Amino acid sequence: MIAGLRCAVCDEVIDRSVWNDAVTFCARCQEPLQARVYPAAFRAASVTRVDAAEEGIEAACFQHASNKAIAACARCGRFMCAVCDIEIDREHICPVCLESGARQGTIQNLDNRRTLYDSIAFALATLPVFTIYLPIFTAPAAVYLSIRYWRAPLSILPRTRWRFVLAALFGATQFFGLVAIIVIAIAASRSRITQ
Amino acid sequence: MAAPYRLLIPKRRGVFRSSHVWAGDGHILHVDNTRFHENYQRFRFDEIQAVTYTQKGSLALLQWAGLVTLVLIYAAVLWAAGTGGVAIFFGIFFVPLIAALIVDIANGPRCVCMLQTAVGAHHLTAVSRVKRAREFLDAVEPLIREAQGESPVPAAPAPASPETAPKPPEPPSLPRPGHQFPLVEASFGVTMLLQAGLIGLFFAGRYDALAVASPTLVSISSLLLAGVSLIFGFTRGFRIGHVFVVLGTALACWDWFRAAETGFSISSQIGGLSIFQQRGALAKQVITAGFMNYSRIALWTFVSLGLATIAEAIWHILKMRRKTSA
Repeated sequence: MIAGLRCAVCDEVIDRSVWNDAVTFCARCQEPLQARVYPAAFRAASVTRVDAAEEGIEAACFQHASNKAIAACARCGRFMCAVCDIEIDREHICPVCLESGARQGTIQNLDNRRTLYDSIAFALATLPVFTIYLPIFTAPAAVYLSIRYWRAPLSILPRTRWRFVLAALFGATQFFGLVAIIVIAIAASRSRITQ
Repeated sequence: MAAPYRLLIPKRRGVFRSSHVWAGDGHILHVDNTRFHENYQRFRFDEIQAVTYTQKGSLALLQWAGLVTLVLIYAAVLWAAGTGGVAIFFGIFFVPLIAALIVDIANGPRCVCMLQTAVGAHHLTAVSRVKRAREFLDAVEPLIREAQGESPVPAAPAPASPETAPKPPEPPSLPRPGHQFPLVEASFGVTMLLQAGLIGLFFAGRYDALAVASPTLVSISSLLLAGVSLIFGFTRGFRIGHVFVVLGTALACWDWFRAAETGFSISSQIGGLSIFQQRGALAKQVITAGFMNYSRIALWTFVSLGLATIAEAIWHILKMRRKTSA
């Protein structure tokens, strides 16, 4: 059951009489606000009931031997009681599989942070160009990142690998271009000395 | 394989970060993209208790408008004075600024949107405009209703007599990022005035423009960074990085005073201005003229922004006090 709602600007409690109104005004800061409240707000907190397993007759939980099993883990097949049963991605799995799935990144809905290596490589290949000298270090780094993390998972949202491709191309071009400039400069200075 | 997500409202894009909301299988996915990382928050449709949004004041819009007006006035003055080249340069430089202002106005008023679950209130940064908040509600409400059913929301209880009525429990306070802090605004204003003071010192003391050009730019940028960083510190908590920012700013300011006294600074050496110092009078004239114009604009911009921000913060505090006492 929800205790109440507050104005997002001034933290004042929003009066219950204006919940689900079209648009109203905050009693304190007088800013227009809208509060949409849904049935979940009035639902009593559910309590999981665990039944005791009758020894020798009913299947018991793998983790809690005295608790009656209600399902088998979809990943490891072990019996689970109501306490151990976790529903995620429409699958019933045990806490052990949940932990290992989170660690290995096999349960996508537990993924709460991803590093975008393609964006890093692309930034390394493009932004330092204006400094002229930084690409000596950043261009090889961009190429390295593009190759090293080519197969790494990107965002959980739809995303292609075009940044990796461009980063590798730009990085390689900058690096070889700079090397060529340095070689030409050295050769020119040597020829000047010999003359 | 990526889950079939559907974008609910257009993405909110910024220079350094963007955020967006998607509808997935049985949940809303809120994505906070910091260019190199993505942070995800998931809210199941059957667990969403409420969605609220409150329109915010138009301070940012006023600041935009003030900034653009100042720039236009200054460009017009330069044009009238016969330095058309400089005016054209600044006109071109600030065209993106005016475009940003038009986009800002077209997007409509800003808002703060909160999503309430049994765990607490969550700030949806992707929903930052009233127009988007309405679109978001229109898109998400059918999905929530489908997951939770159409059970009616209980009506508010009839008011009982003050003696007999038990005091209802207070909801917990909202997380800090959802708030507007007058003190944070005021600190930003003070930072602006500090910057203006720094440039003012340059004009008052008639220092060598070329000697202090580079350290002034560095110190202004550092102070601005420090101001923004401290605002984030106030709202999201301080980290060890803030110490480095403050130390870096102190170093930049020390470098400025050193340049003013001795004509030598670390930043000008790093910035390569010393090379120009040795190359003829023309380069020196061009750099000096450009820097003087930049400094004049920056001075008045920072003064006006600083005063406007502090005035708004004071007005906000007074308004809050008046409402509380009423």
